[in-house]
Amino acid sequence: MRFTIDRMSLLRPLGHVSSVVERRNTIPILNNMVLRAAAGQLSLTGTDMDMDIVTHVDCAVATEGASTVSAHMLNDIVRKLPEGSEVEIQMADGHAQISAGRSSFRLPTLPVEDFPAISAADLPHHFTLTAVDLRDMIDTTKFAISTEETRYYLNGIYFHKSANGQLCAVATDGHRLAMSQMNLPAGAEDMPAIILPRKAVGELRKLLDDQEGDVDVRLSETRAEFSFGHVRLTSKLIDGSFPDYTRVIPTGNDKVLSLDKAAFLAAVDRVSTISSEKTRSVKMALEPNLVRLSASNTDASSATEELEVAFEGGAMEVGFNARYLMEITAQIHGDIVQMSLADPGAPSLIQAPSDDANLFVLMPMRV
Amino acid sequence: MGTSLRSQLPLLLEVPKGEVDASLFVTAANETAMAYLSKWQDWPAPYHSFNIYGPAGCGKSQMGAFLAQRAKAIMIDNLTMFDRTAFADCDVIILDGISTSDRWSEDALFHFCNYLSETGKYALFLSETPISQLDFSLADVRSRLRAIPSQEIHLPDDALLRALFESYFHERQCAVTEAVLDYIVARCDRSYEAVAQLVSAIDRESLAAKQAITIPLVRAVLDQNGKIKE
Repeated sequence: MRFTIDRMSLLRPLGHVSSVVERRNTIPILNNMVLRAAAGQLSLTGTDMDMDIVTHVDCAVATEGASTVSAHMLNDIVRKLPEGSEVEIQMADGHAQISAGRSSFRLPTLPVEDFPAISAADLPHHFTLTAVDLRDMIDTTKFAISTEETRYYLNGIYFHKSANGQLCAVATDGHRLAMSQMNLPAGAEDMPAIILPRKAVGELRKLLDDQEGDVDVRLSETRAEFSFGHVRLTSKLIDGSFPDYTRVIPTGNDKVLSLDKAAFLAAVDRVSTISSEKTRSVKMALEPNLVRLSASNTDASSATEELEVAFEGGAMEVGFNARYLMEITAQIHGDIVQMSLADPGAPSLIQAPSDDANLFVLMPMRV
Repeated sequence: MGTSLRSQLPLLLEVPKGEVDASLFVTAANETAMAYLSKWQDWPAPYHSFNIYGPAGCGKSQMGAFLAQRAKAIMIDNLTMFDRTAFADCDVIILDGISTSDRWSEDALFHFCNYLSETGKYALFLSETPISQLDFSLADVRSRLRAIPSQEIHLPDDALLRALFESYFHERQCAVTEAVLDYIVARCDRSYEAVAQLVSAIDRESLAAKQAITIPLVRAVLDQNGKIKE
């Protein structure tokens, strides 16, 4: 097999595939990606056994063929080649020869037959949505995915058809919850409720970065496949039940305040400088048309800042983790953040005033 | 058991109230009751009935459901008026949660017992206390219920406690090690209801702390609730 391709064209798909391949594997073939050159195209395939990625790129194929080579090593080599290089890769006799200008590298290869077969599971549910919509749903919810491994059923985004017939994405780590909804795409009416794992969410989001077209989604109870542009990403799903999150979304919070998003973000950031690293708590003292943010530390340092807000309720004090507050506020679309509170021990609802599609629930801290 | 030890309060992302079936695990605590249940056709005349009693959560209703799957049975949780046509198509009638509350009319129970004697149909009475001790005002009802043999489901033994904890944690998709289970079983309250409450408190604390369920975490929960027995 021999082909030539310019460095920039190769770098992007190489980066995507090597990102899926784990850096440390006890099985040598899993360190490798498949390179297959045929009919003017190079296809690159990688897997971590939970997730597979296949991507294509145009190249000048001199000799067709397929083999496998270390994904991370090849990515590192191509990344370090000079900009504008023309890269020639030749694979034969158990070795790959990578040449560009005066640089030349020789890597061992393993037979493509040893590479695990990419699953061709039956994926009966099929629908299409725009890359922009999928990107928005992921961006709105991804930050709230739990990283605590033993609570595996929270380690992903829960995509499902909601009770009001929307396509709904939800993530929670047990302290905060993020939800994003959009109109249900045609074909998704009978989709199974799935939990897409955190790593797949991250890879999918990176792949969607520069996509503007449609994304084909195919699902079964156990796998999900996303195809767009020259990429196909398939992932196993989390085998667990997502909790009934609707029970924790407050519906009767009557203390509603509206804040300027930028001013609020900056003020929380400033005041939380004082908060202890351990708790990162910020107290919000509400008064009519005023919120006083404050933080203190065990070393007797403290900070306060006042913000004008639209609020006509009674006085109340409530504490939040500053990082949670900022991460949620950053996801609010528009310039105004609306917080609906009940009492200092109850979940708060945070959303943009006219945005019913996206909402966030944040549990307070005892302060 | 609802308060977290941490300053960060967790969302109440609980699974629906655990419906773990204690009767699935046959140990010394319930094996006699299960044995009587499986021989329902031998329940003695005149009422061809049996009473299984035990504390809340011990699996009485599930035992009733177990019998219902094996016989042509109907399960009722009240009897305010006796209507013999309601039982025409069944061989066994299971009365779940019989007590002196308004849900059980004494007149209806009186006629029901006579109906059992007259037709030879079978009945399983499930209650928290022995039906022979239920303080009904009609002497005829009391005497009829006293004639019905009974068997207690005892407080859970270690084997049953362990199986229940394992199941409740499994229901909540919580991973726990054998060592954690050993630790809990050796120190928890020996009651069916306490199992569900303790699992709920541990799950909640683990969520609040964003930590796996470990012995120190369990110890903190038990300690907070004054249940630790070192």
